[in-house]
Amino acid sequence: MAEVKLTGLSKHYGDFAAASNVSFDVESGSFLSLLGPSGCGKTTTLRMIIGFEQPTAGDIFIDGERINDIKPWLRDLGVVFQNYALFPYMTVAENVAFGLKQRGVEPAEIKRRASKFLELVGLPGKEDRFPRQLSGGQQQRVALARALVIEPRVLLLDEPLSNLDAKLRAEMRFELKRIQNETGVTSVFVTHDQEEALTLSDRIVVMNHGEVVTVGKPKEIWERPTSAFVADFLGVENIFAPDGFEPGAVVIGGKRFAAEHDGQGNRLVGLRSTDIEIGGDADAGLAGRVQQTSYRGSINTYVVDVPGIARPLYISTATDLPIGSNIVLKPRDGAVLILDPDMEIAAA
Amino acid sequence: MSTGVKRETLIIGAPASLWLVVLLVIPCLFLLFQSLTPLSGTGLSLENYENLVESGTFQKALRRSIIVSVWVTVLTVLAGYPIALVASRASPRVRTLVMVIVIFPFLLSAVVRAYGWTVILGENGVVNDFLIGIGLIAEPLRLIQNTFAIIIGETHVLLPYMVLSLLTVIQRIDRNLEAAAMSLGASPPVIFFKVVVPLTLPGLLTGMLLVFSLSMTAFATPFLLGGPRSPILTVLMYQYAYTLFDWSKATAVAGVLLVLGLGFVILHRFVSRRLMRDAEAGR
Repeated sequence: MAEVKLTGLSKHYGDFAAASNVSFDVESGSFLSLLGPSGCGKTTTLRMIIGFEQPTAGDIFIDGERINDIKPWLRDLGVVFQNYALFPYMTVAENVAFGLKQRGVEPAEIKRRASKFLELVGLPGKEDRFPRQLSGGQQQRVALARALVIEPRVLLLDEPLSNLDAKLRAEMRFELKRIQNETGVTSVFVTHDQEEALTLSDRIVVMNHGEVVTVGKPKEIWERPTSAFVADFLGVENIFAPDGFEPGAVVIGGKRFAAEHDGQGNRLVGLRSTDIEIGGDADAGLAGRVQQTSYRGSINTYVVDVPGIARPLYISTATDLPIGSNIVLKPRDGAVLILDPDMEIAAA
Repeated sequence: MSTGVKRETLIIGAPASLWLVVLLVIPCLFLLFQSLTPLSGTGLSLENYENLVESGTFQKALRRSIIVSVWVTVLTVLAGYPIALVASRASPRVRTLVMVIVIFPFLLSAVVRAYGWTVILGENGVVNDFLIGIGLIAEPLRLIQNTFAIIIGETHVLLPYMVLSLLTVIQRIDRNLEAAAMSLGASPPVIFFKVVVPLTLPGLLTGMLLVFSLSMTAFATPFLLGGPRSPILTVLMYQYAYTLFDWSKATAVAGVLLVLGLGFVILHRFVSRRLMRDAEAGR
């Protein structure tokens, strides 16, 4: 098990910065996700750790050893790819044995360890199959076994679940977590799926435009996103500029709502559609008119026009609200998120 | 062949088929018929072939043809892989440059190419001048009018076939497979032999069959660079026909070449079909 440390890692292609001043630590044995939209630099960062890309600046340390100049095939890292990247002309057993063969392990020992790891990933007895005879989920399990059997210092996963269908993806997510727990391998996981990052990680690094936006535990990032980009990426539906800030409160649509903030202006507020209450005292709440509704089963989402707020609000509630009805709404206590304005708010 | 050939297909294909039958199939059959007609008497017999096989000249020429073709195949593989790898992985500009250099021999006539090699390999050629100049040899080496010159010339002519065969399969390789191998501890040479070669096997075999059969049946370059004293089969056939006017032997050599050529076409179709099936099954 090893600890990973990136300091000021950058990759420039001419004027374009694919990754810029990326720094974070991965504790030994922990699971860290690099989360962001495509082109945010997460894959570039991963490829620099693996050694497929040379950083233009900054350092990569594993257990305190600087590995920038170590050849990728000598770094002892396990890598799992989105498209599995199994050798099609080799059997499952041969695929898993590949890394051990490069290390000169005895054939009998290779066989023993390959079976052990195929069992770990839930594929015992599939040694003689070819990759094409397996389902996508099974192929990804083989890829995991192949990466883990060499007992890598760090396991690097590049969107490993993105090629699977929704049901299988959820199942593999639990499997991945179980396997990581059982092996205790330090893992870096690249994904654009916030749900995957939240459920799997000990810590999440959110990236955008090649830079680290925020680092934190899943609960922290989910409950207290610090910037508009993070909030938007985590699915906070309502992000807008408030009327203003008062000590211990934020003014929205002429009404005061309690919110902790540091008094700096120019901030945006975020409000999850599920954090808005309907009904109550008309003086304390905002008046709104239901414009649109979208049926989603037990909970429906409504688009509500609120005078004083530039954009209509999204509200999710079990209450049935007909289009055109007038309602009173207010944020749940402590639910108003104060956000750094690091992205453009689209006009309504 | 496939059973459901449409009438339109037959109509469209008819003129070309007629052309081929009249100008290729009939002459070939006529040639075969002649090769089976003995000088003495009438009827059909294998007499011409028996005479041919017993002659030392034929045996030597056949052996030379095979040696040349094996060498040419090996050399085009050794030169073809690096060129195809560079061409497929380099920037578009470098790729275009490499491809132009590779394809260029196609655009020249065999005579011009052969003359070029004479300038390089001849007694007063560039290579000999250089070797004498640096004092490595005193007398010019005989680099032309021999088997060596045929091998060099044929390798030059047939290299594009190998490069193009390899290029098509190299471009289809999933780069993640090489990345995966690298992460598992494989150095670049190991990756080449354990990942690139297995994945390019269909193209490699196609290229090898193509180069070998074209080399076996090539005439112009061996004729111009090899000289009369070391003929390969095709040159021997020419000599029988136009120098010795021994038409019975000439047609027998032609028969041998025809059967060899057909054999390679069938082998090629068989191998490529099998490989295609395997490739499809393997994603």
